[in-house]
Amino acid sequence: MYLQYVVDAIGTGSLYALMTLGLALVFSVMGLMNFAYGQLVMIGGFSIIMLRQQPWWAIILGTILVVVIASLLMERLAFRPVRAATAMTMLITSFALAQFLQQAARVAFGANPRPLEQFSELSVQYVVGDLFISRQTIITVVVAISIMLALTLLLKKTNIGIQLRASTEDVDMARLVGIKSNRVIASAFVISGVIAAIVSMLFFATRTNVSWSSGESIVLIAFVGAVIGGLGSMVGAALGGFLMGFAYTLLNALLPLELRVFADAFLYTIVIVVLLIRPSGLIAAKGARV
Amino acid sequence: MNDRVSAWSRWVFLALPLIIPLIVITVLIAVTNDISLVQRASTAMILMVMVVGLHIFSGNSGVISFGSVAFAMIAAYTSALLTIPVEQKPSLFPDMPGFLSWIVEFSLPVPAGIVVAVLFTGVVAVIVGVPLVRLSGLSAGIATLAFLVVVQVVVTKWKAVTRGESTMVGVPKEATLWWALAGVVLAIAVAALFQVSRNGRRLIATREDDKASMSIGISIPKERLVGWTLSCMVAATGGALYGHYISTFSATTFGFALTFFIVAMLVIGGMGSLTGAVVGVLVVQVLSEFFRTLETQGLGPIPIIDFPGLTEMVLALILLIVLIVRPSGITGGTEVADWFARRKSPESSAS
Repeated sequence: MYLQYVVDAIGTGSLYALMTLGLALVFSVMGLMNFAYGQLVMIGGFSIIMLRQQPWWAIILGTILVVVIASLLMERLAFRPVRAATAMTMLITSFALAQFLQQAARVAFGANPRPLEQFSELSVQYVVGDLFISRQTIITVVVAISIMLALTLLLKKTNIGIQLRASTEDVDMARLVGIKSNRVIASAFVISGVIAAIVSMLFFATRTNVSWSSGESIVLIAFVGAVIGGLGSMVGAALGGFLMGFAYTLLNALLPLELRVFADAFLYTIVIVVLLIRPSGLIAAKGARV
Repeated sequence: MNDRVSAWSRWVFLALPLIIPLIVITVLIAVTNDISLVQRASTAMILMVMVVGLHIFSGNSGVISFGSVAFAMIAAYTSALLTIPVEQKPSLFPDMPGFLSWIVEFSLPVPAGIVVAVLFTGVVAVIVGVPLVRLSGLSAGIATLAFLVVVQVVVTKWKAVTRGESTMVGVPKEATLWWALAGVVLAIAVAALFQVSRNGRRLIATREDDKASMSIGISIPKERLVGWTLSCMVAATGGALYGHYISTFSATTFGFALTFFIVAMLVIGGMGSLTGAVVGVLVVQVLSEFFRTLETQGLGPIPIIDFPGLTEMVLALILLIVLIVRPSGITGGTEVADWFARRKSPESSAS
């Protein structure tokens, strides 16, 4: 019984961990908390709707392409001009950008949610002992772990990854030794976009519709996950996101019925408490810009 | 003695250049007797109360808060609960829990309801503020945002007291253009008073240089708590006025959209100056009313452009452009008094 909740919680936790990772990567490179990150997932959702009739590989590639382009445009048009400003100005810029994209989607796709035809092949349930595990959960966990491994390899072994990590440690020093910050930041946005696209596919696979406001709750979770996990630390971000998803699922399952509607209130109260005890997050990065 | 005289004169130079034009504009608008104009002006001024409220904390401390709308919401609901006519209460709140049952048995006149609501919100602000003011930067932003979510969830789900997702109805609709003007004059007077007071100047010092201010014995949490509480109470005044102005509202009225608007107004105007808070509201409201008119009735030769979300989209775009072109806002953090003094404000570096 309880084990079933844990399985579900691991599924949600993995998805949230991925979400948080995409946000945290950009933050660690340029100190930007990108509120518009959730809108990338929303854009991914709408491209899935547009591509729904295509074969599965076309949906995956197409969505990744669209979201990565959107992510790059975001960096070039909105964030590059304010890069030198304070963290707060950048935060509010991303806030405005998020609002802009959200309302643009409302103008383009209408105020009502667009129905999304279900991917029935994902809802297959496997029975293990007395546990039910859906194919969706397995895919989410496998994809999340693979992405994290791939990201680790990329950061440790490739040239651009090493440059990224150098910029994470000390942007000015990295620039002094000849790392081109424009290229590094753009590549962080590309990776963040790929992750957002994958998140949108995993997220909307379980939803019945996509709406202009779909991105809002996602970015809130990622945002909070990144901050409680520890800003600037990739491991911390993944952990923070995972804990958000894990706690959310367990609170919804285990709270007494009359309190269950307040699950979000409990979750965010826990968030405030965590922040008060550890203002720089569970795993504080060295020299994090908080 | 000398210090006190100059503080008063600074207060006058800070507040009056903002208050007098607002009074003049309000009187002119009242004279036209144009209902839609009066409505728009009232909304703008009530929003201005909330923005000035946010400025008192965020502008002077440099710490962003996404939580001011939560306090506006608490005050709006409190004042509504206190002032809804006694005869309507039993049918509106049939399941009022026992410890709050006294609320159903009486009802206050609106001004008294607003005052009690603002005081109650002030108490909440102190309780929440004591731990929260220790945070700065993004942690503060996230924590205040988390607080907004908590209040939102509680108001949406605590059906017996807040009517849950149904709107609050029966709230006396008494706030008028003049109430809004009174609210805004009071808010500006309080904000200016705070800014020239010792507490306010110490808070600004912590914004300019936290380490230097600590070294001269300023306690950052203490100064922030004073500003925070005052800020929340002014935002609460705006929230309560808003409640009595629109008279039907729900938790979504005080959500992320309103938060975005209020923060955007402050940033567009120029964070760090009271003038910026006032100018930001005026600019954003004039623009948004222009586009809203375009959306609903067209404007002269321009036909109706009917796309829900267009107004919000264009506003967000304008905010983006302002941020990119002029990150420190329209006023750049200066006050009207600075313009007369013909000198660069020392605050212009703030953001």
